[in-house]
Amino acid sequence: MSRTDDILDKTKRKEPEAKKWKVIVGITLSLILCTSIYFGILYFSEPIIDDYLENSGGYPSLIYRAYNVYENESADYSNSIFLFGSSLVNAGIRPDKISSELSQHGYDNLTIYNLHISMDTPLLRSLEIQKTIESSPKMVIYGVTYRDVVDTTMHSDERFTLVHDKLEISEDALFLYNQKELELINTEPPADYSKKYLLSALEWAVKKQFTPKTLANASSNTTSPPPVELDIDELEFNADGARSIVWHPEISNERTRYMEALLYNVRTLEDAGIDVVLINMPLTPALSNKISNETRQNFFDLLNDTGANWYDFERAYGYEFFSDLVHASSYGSDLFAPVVADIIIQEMI
Amino acid sequence: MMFTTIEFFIFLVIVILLIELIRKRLWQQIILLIASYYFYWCSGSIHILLLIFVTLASYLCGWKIWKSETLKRKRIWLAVGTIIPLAVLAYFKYIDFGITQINNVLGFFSPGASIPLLEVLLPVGVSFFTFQALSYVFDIYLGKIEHEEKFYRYALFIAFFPALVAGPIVRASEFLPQLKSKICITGANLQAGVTLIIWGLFKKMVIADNIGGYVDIIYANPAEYQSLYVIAATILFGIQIYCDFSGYANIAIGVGRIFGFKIPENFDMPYFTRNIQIFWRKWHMTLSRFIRDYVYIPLGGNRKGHLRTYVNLFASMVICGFWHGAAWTFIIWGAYHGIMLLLHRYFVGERKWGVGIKFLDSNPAVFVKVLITQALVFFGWMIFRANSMGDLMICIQKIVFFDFDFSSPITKLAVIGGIALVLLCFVLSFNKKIVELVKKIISFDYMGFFSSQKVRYWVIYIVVFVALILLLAPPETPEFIYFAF
Repeated sequence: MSRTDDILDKTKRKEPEAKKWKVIVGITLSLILCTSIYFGILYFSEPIIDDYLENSGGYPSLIYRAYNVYENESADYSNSIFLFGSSLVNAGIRPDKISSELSQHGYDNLTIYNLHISMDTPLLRSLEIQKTIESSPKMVIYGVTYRDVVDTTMHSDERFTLVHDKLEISEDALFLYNQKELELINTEPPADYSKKYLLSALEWAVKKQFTPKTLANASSNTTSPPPVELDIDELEFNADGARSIVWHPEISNERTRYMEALLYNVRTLEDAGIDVVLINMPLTPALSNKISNETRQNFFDLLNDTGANWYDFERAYGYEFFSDLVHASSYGSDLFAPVVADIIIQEMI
Repeated sequence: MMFTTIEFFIFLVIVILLIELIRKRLWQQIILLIASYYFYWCSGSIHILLLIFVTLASYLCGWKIWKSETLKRKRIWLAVGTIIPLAVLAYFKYIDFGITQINNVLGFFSPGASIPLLEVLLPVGVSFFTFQALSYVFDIYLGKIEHEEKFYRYALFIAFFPALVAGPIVRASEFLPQLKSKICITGANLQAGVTLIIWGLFKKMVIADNIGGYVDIIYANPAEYQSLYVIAATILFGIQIYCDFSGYANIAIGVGRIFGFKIPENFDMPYFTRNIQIFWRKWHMTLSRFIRDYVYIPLGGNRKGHLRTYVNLFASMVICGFWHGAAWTFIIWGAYHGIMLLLHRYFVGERKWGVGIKFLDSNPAVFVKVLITQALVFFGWMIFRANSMGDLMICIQKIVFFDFDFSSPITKLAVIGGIALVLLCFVLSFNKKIVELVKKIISFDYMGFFSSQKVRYWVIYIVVFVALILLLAPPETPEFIYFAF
């Protein structure tokens, strides 16, 4: 009989029934033991988790990065430009490229901070408005698109929970949030919240250990890449099928809390003396075709109501600008950099 | 109050202590009833009144059926006893769905016309406790059980907290006789119960909840993902729903077991079944037998000719789908399984396709049959999981018109690895010894094995699994999927 067979056949040998007190003692001791193991592991893995949260480049680290900028008390941001928005902004508006464009025009003293956070919406960004005011940058370039002001139900608890102790929300912004969000604002996150990142942090730590540095630096290639060849039929198919609320957003002239959040963010920053420039980010023709004229007009009205200067690039580029259905390629961001640099110069004059 | 919360375990320990302290059967059962109502109050608050109403109404109807001397009167009370729980279910679960459908029709004839939705909140476990109430009324009418004299015992049968919110659907004939003896918490039952609870928590909190995050992302917007991701998300959802629901059943059975109650099993390795008929005998077994005994057979079963049998089968499965939720996707899912069962019955049951061919009973052929059956089952999960009809169409398009991008190494690895694994299993299935060993490993009673170990070895199981649960479960545990039904 093989070893496996032997183990499997063990059930046939019934052990005598356990005494109740023994079972209770067993349960109690094992619970104490595994709780100790649990907290022990959490304690010893805390530095790895913190390192992951701050430096991995993933979603949590984008949140941390923004707050690190806001909370850097020694920094002087009076000659800085903050970039706000989602991954569309990260892909399309590249600080390094814009800085070099600005340098060519003699604006060497400006520093651009990429504070994009994936899946950002004005509602989530409103959590950071007071922090931004305290940092008092020279200007905020705020990349927006239609879906930002509809309920995409892609809310992130992490924007509330990860930086819970750093949140500063003014009383007049509280009307923006629903019950669940207010709970997140007002309730301390669980003590072991960071365990959520334990596996990812360990994976990241191992990867970091074994990734050769030459490979890690390989991405810092400065030569301009060619446009990405896209399968336009596939993009259009995906755009046709995409969930309506995300990519076929309908914006009415009735104000929703998502729209109010954009108004709040821009007006509050401007009232605090920070210039805000809104950019309606480029969309692929496949997605742009899904935007109705009524939605477009209502969105433009909303941008007008913010009182800030805004620029419309929604239909400025063709497919050659993009790397997929929504994001600009490196080639696209090269095209866009001088345009954004011109806007910055124009706004500063 | 969810099974996965610390509050539940404090509650459970208090109930166990009370039951242990009170040795009198009557008071033990009353304590359990109060505890069950408290549990429901914590989960469903004011809807507890609904639970009490359904309990009272079905008890009264059962009593009337039992007392009635003429068949006509019995039938009247059966009708009343059926209509009341069904009306409760219809109002709380389906009313807004019905209004939406009416509005769709109204909108077709006169745009702008619509009836406002009632926005009724779905009471937790309503689908389960109404079905238990129905089974009691039916069983008395059919003469399978006697009327329960003690109301508190019947109320405990309906409200028994481990199975209250998501089953298994226990029958009166299974539960009420167990109330005839005093509750005695033994060491063996405690050990077996805790073993099951921990295994259930592991399946739910570690497997299902972690998988659920990925599934949600892809199903939130399937159009943005390649076919391979949609297929992967569907497979993961199949695993998620199994681990979520069978995890709940394990906890429910485990808690029942601590008190010495036997709650019926709900799953018996459904993903290893070789045809769709056997799948339904092993998936959500207590619902399947409810549908069989109280829908399919009363409709005439297979006693009224071929055509009627098929109609009955199809209707039963559509009802089964609709029971899961008020949405077209659930109805289509039920209909899809109805068609599968119907085709199986026609080709295998009647036309005897493949019957008598020895090769089809060989291990490699059985392996292929299992693969095909599960492919069909998992396709059904896609229908079940899709957020809307629009999303469902996208998912189907994704699978029919593959948009695999083979330039990606991950896609290549997944496809080649998947095919290689299937081929390897197929080749290995020719070896009888390996097949026997795999069968033994699959069908091995692991829970029995762990719970029959000496306590000093058993604690290793607890320490390992509880530590894994604590470390690997997401910080916020989502509700059990079947809570929504």
